[in-house]
Amino acid sequence: MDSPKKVSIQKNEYDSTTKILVQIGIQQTRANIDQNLPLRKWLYSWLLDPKIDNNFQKNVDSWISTLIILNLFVLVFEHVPAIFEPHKHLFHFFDMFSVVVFTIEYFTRLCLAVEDEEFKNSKYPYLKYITSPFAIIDLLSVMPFYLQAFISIDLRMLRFLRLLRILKLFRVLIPAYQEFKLMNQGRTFRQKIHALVFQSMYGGSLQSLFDTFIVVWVVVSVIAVVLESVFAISYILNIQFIMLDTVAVGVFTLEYCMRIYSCVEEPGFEKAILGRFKQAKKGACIIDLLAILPFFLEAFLHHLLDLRFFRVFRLLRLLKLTRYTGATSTLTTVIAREWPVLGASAFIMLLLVVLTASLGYLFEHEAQPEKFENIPQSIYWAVITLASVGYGDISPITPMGRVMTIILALLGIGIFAIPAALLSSAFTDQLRIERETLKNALYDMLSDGIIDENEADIINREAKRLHLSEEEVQRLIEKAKYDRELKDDIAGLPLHKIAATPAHAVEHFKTLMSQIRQLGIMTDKAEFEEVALSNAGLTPKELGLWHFINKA
Amino acid sequence: MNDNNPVKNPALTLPDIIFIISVIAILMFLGWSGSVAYSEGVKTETTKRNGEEWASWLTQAGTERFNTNYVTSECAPTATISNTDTNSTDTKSIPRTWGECLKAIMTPPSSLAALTNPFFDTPITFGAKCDHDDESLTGLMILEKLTPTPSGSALPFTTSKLVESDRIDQKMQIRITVCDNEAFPIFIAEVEF
Repeated sequence: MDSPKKVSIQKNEYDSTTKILVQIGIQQTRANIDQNLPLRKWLYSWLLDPKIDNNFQKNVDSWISTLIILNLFVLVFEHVPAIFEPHKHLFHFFDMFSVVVFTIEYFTRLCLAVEDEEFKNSKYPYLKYITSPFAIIDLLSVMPFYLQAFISIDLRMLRFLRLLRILKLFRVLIPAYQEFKLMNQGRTFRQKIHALVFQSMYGGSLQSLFDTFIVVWVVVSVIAVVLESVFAISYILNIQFIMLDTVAVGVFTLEYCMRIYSCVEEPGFEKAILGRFKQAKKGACIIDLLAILPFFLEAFLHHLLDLRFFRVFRLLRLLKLTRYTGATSTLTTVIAREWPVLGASAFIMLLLVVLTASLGYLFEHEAQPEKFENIPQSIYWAVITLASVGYGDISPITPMGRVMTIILALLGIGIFAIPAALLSSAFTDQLRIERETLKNALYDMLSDGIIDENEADIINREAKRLHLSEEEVQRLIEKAKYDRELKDDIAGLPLHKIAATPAHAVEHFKTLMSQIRQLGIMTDKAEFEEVALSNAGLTPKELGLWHFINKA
Repeated sequence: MNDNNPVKNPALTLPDIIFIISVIAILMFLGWSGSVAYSEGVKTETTKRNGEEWASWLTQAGTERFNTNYVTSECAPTATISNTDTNSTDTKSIPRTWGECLKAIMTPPSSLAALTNPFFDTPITFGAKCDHDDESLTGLMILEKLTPTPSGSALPFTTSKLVESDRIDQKMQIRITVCDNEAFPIFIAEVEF
């Protein structure tokens, strides 16, 4: 269970910044639940009440869901005698552990049912809970374990009954689905598909669950591809790997089709054909396609070509995870931005490689004709030397060759380090730019003093993408607020900036008028007139204006 | 949103229906490909079980065949025959060959005789190597004789196909390999026979 995160501010500093952090949901302080509540109510509020933010209800749900998924995997492995037989006791312990957790969960929910809005108004709240669909599912998931102590149940039947545990996931899925349905009332089928697969304000929890589902499948399928290469494992789990790969391809194909179909709801992709083509050309979509392509190519072309090597490309599924992290998009931006410099650096490297290979061939060919047979063969040695790898399988033996190698190896250290240094500094720079952009966005958002739901969502997403901690977001908000206050004090701004905004100009004019009036009150009028009428003073028109303002 | 007066969801449009049908078609194709792959996988598993049966039988035979009165006498190291040149009762031992042993193994009631190649539903056939380009080799079994090389050699042993004329009068190492559904080799075991 996560420990409550606290923002590092003093009590007296609990100001509007903290309020904003709470508003955008970045501050993860725990729910404020009265300690003096009756124990049952207190427990329900902490553990099961979905209406209280920042209690442990979501954590309980997510841990139970994880345990259910683990149970599903365990059930699959139980069908593999080579795995099940030697580790029977571990499987049994895991089953016992699961049953204990699920039983505790069942009785906790039963005991606290009287606090639930759904059951508390019933005449027999416990009975109503016991006969509710979720409670029946919960009971079914543990009952076979206890029943087998009294009745002899066929192992296959027992496993089937244990499969019912997966139904417990509906406790998470159904509320998410209901929320999604409510949010998408009156929207078209395509818009709903879009809300499910793309980040939008209509996605809700179901969209997060969909993302989690895809991420889990990516991880599972990549682990399967890696393990498939281990002979001892693939020998035992060959059939399971086939089934798993087919299901994974099914999931990814469905996701791909949904993305292509509904992308026209995305801004900039509205056209039916061109929009979809534009979407299909996006890097993330190409990765999605590559994740499923090996399966289909093999299915269609395996009679014509040996496409086994294609299977390794299934590892590209890992790249699908880049959709869920902003780090790779930052890196892509950096490479695109620094491309001319990187290109120049690559050109110098290429030049150096060709030069080194040619000199290597020139000096070493006669001494080692089998190793430095021609320039293309010498390129391998040149690259290994310049990149400071130095396998040592090919090395110069002539004095000239060795001298040249010393010089070129030293040059190589510098030249080959350039791209790394460039990328590193550009990456830092890009992060700074993106944080600056977020700060500007915060600045704009604070113009009305309110951060609405959409703005909070943007801040949340950006903070997550840029891996900003609570403290960093807090600092950015402080800075934006400070800048905003500075802007509000328009007198401090240069005149041309005030003039750019008519409202500011009027405000400034009013301030000036007020100052002139104050001046009229505070100064000695006779002396003022005398100086004003002297040679270095005011023009008659200016003096007239002075009189007019002070009279009014 | 007002729950008492829910907004009606728009009906499915033609593109929606086309999308749903396309997705169902793709998933059906996927299901069919998966079932084909699954049934091929099951056949490969059966081929592996065949190889394991052979490995198990050969290992068992390897421990027993040097005993006198070994049941499958054709797989014993030597055959005892009476000396026909002289009219004496003398007998002499001649080494048996793999061909004699194989014939006995592949004849009922030997348990191995009942094993079949699941890809063609025919009795198991033996070959020299798996070849991906030759589909007729799927489910093939390869028995190779491992001959130790002199100490200091780069390779600990050399492999050669176990042929019918090979003598089995001494302990020998046999490597068992089978060809999978794409005629790629799957190593099963190395046994002492």
